Amino acid sequence: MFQAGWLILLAIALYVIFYYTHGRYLQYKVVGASPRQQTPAHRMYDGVDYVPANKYVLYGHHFASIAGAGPIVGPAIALAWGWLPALLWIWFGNVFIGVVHDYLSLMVSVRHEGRSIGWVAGKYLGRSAFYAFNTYIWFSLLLVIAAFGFVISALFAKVPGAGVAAFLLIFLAVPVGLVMYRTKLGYAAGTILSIIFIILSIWVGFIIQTAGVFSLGFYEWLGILTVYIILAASLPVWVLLQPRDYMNAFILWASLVLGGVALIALLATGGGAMTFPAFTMFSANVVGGQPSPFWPAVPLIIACGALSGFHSLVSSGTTSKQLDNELHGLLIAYGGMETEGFLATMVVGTMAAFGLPAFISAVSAAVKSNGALAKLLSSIAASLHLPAGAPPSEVLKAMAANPAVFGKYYAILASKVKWVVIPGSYGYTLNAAFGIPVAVGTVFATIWITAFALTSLDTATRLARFTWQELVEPLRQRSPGLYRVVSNKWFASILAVALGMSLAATKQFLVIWPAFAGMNQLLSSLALMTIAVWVIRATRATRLGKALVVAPAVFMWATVTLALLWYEAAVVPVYLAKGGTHTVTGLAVGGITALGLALNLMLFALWLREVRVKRMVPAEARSG
Amino acid sequence: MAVYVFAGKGGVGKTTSSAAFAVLLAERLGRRVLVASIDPAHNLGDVLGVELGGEPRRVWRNLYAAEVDYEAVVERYMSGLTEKLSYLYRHLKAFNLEGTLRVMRYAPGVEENAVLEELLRMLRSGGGFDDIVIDPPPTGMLLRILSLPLSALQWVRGLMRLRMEILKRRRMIVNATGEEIRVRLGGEEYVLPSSPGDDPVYRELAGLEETYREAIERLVKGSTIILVINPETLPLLEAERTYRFLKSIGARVGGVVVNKYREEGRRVLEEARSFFKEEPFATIPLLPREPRGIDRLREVAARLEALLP
Amino acid sequence: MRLPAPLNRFLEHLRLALAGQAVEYIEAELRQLETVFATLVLGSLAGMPTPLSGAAARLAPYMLPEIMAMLEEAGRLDDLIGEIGGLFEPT
Repeated sequence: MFQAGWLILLAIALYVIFYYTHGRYLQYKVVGASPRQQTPAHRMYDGVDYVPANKYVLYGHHFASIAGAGPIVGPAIALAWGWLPALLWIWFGNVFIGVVHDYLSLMVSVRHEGRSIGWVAGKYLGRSAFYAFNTYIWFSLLLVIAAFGFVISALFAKVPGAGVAAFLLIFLAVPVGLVMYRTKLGYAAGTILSIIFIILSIWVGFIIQTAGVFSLGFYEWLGILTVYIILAASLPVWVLLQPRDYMNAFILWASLVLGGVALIALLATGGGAMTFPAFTMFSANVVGGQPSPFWPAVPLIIACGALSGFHSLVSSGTTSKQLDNELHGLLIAYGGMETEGFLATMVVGTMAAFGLPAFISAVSAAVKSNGALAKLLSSIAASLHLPAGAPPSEVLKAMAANPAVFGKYYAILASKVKWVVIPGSYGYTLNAAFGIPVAVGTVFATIWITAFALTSLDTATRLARFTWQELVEPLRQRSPGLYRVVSNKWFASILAVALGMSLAATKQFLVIWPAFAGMNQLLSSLALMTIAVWVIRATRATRLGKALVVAPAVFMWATVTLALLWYEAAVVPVYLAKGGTHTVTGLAVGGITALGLALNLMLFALWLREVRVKRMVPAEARSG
Repeated sequence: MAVYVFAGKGGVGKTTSSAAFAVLLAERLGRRVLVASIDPAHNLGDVLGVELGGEPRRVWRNLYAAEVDYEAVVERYMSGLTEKLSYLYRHLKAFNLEGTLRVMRYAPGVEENAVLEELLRMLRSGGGFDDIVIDPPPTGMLLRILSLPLSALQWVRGLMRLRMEILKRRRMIVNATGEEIRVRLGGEEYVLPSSPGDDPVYRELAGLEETYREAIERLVKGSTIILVINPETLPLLEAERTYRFLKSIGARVGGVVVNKYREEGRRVLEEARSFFKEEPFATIPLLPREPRGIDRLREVAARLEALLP
Repeated sequence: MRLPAPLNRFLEHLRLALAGQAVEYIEAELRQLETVFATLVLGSLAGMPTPLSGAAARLAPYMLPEIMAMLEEAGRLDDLIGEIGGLFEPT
């Protein structure tokens, strides 16, 4: 059988080749990047905001900013279609669409004095595009809170040791911050403390996990998270967010290197064979547990890793102000996105190779106490023609060997065991490669995923507060009294958290995640449209170059539009018909995506109008 | 050292009253007294019948007098500011435009600050006087000067807190990165100060706080204010308002002088007497001509005995 | 002990990366505070009422960095989402 390590090597080869061909082409033939063209970091140098940064340093920083829990969770769900389709979307989505989006967002911003893509969208597509941009962001943020609130609570309920460790890490971030910011010991001491504390937390988590002395349910964790996120988002950034962000960077790089090296090392021993099916079926049961056509539904599952709209904010909001030389943009944004694709590849590899033992241990542990899981397991057994009392390991092995059954039940079963199989398979990978106890690797991977998700909750709440302010702004004149209430900081925080967390509480992850991914893709679609107008209007791109930008923009727009239409038609009604909380969930996600869709259609009309207009090459492009 | 400030509208006889009171203090109590005018429309020299300048000059026994040049005070204060500003905008000199900064002279609050600082300078130095009698600008300006330190103190303290937050963040960055924060502005590199001791803005704020605190202590709460009015209904109403305001900012009112009293004003005088019944009260009748010279002032002074401490 | 040049370079980059990673949010917060400070102090010069232009004039000469931060911030007021969104990226 095919070993996961090859995927890692193949991915590296693919990313390097595309970097030097496709990337270089975008750089020279589309953007017309030149080292002689002054970047905003130089033109507007102030030593604080606009500062030219070393390109490797900026690459690391950019990657740490864009990477989160998104590229881990999405690809893991997509395995329902088989690892090959998931991987193909990650690879080709990444190199044809994702990198174009990230790299050109950066370069557009560089050519617009470091302005954000939202601002540029307003300039090229009109004011309504700017409002649409804000609306997408706000609703995405609600769904970020919902999706990550679910993932964290679910994982902590299954790996309570990691829950303790993660909160230990939160408390330990405070002394790290105190040492780093309030003493002269600085980042060096901060680094040493961070590493010690991370290892300490993993060790404590491991002890608690194996001792089995502590556990909390999903709803208890969700409650804790709700309190945590409202408090965390109201603290000054230096107390918690900043030191946590610092510690997360170490966890990120460690997990990436450890996972990648483990899979490659396993090649030598013949380990890491992928036991999950390469391809199951075109319409596996994924979104909402319903049969979901791979195309167009895949971007509702794999967003980050292939294409993520939020990256345009980092590219155009922060990185563009620090770019030293236009030629560095390729490494930083193109390379940064490829690195995220690599991260997603690693997740697919570990899941495909070690998902089976992870499933077996997760299901065996839970099946006795979980009636619904037992029922699901016996229907899987029935469709595999196994006797009803067959042990979980036998059923799961047979399921992995049967693509059709796997495609039908994978996502539903993984949801039933709360996706603990993601950190679980990582634990088994490290165990197979380095002999690290599975529980240690599992705790580490859970901390890795949840550390990012926890920081996401914090930043999403802060960002939601701000975006909400922008959205209610029209009320200021029309209804000042109402405006005063709704523009209150606590109102804005609690609104976003309450809505997000109530969605998480429905546990309907398979319908929440696609809504989040969909909104995220709408955001990226708007960025791509903006980029395309800029390329057509303001650059001297070759015909092929234009095609390399316009085609992904159109393809992505069509895909995500179709995907959301399908979602509205095939998934939402199922939920509406179920009654009770399901109906409410269906209404919520259906309503949000319908709003997104409507804006998307409007934007496309604007976009068509703009790209059709024949204009002289603007001065900006001539001077470049 | 006791400080007396004679407050009143222009033309009610502030200068006469303060000069006469100074004579009274010097003669009756044998104090070494300075009477200083800081009114833009000076006539203290005329009243005393001598030429006066900015430096105290002995005019009679142990009575000294000075006329602080109001315009010069504001001018000096301004030039201190513009000197700093013009360093900042030194390129303006190339255009011969440095004069444009002079518009600040008319910025609201600048005059008040200038006079306040001049008064404080005077009170601080003391000059070995037992008493200082001040003939200040007319009521409106005086009240602005007296109320300035109170509101300003709160404002400055708020700014100091905010400034500390800024310095705290800068210190954090310096601590974490191990390097000073450098910014480049207009082609020059600056190192951003990160401790209160190095930060000129914080130092200025601390200086302002000290000034205002001292102003409250010495001038608002530490001086005795004597209201001068004429026996007419509207000026009385205004004096009542002034009185209430002074009480509200914690100033000490030490008496009321009704100047230019005529028989027709009896009713108003009675009203004033009943309103100010808690304060020492003095009346100066309408004199056929303005009293000039020490001898005439000694006559007037006799009427002010009620105001003596 | 002399380290080989590439290793030296790598360590220098690592140092820069760590130092930068450690203060990203604080730097953004500092800039906001400086802007607020400048606006409060110079509000009177910018048309906002403050009680004390005299005091503002005393502080102004030392506030070039804050004034620049304020002006730059003002220039980006129509693009705050870029400022905030780039910093608080949630995914």
